[in-house]
Amino acid sequence: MHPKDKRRGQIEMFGLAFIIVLISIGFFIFVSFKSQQKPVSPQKEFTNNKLANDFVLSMLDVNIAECPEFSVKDLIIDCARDSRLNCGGSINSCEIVNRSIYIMLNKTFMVRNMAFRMYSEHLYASGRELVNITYLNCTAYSVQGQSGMAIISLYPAPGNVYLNMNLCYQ
Amino acid sequence: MGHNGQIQLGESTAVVIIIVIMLVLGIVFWNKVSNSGIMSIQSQSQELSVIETANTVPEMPELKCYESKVDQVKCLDWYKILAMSNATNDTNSKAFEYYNYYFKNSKITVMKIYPEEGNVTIYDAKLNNNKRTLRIPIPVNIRDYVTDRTYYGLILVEGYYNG
Repeated sequence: MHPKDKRRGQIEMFGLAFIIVLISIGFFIFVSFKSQQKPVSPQKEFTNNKLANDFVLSMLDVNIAECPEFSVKDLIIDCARDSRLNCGGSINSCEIVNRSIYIMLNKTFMVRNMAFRMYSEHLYASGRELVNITYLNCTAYSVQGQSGMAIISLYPAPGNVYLNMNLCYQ
Repeated sequence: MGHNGQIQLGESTAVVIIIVIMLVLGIVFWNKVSNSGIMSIQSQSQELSVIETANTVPEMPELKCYESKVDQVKCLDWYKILAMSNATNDTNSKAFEYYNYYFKNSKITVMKIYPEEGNVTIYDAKLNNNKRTLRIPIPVNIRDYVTDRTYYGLILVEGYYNG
């Protein structure tokens, strides 16, 4: 073999080895990054799912502190229709609903520092939606987590009220 | 063997060194990945065990409201909660032994939140020296059939684990 050809062959082999080393390092880096990505914890997912879903549903049947003969659902219906009920003197049903929901949200989500957004649809008081509570800057544009919804029929009046609960990832 | 032989020996040494470095990197990397995989499987299985307990508690006839249906919100009877708390209070009792089979290393508390507040622990394995606690709160209705009131509350399931 001519010494010049031998030299060229050696350079090619080195080039090939260099490429293989580069590919291997790239593969190591890729797999390292992949393995560092934490999988979603099943406990966190289950907890958020339960909290978002079961919260909106279970708070509806709760009796109100100011007027124990009525539930949150009764007062929401009253607020959406004609707001005739008065509990504890001069406080109307819309105000009491808002206050009670806030207390329950506070003791469930705020104490755990969970970002959420709770809002109503078709439940107007003083010309705007009655329930619109957000915590830790959770908005419609944040990264959305689990959500829950309750539909409250206003029968015999037409229409429904929707209560939505969205959790946000921080 | 002259100058050429020296170059060839240098090349072979370089190749061997590169292969050894890559082997060492591969072994270190594999070790790290497999360890983290085992840890993740272990922690996932612990989490699933707490989830299982959290799913079991509101479905127990010992605690459920008598009119509860499958599609309804989880509802617990306040007086059944108090009765269970009394029964499992003593860790040497038969009742504690029975529930230990289901709840294992955990603590289960029912929290009344609105309109009144109050906590009742219905089961506690009392393993305070464990390092890790997994907590799952589940919103429920708590029904008091004597006063005919429904309260909002949480079942708080805490699982104790080493690690």
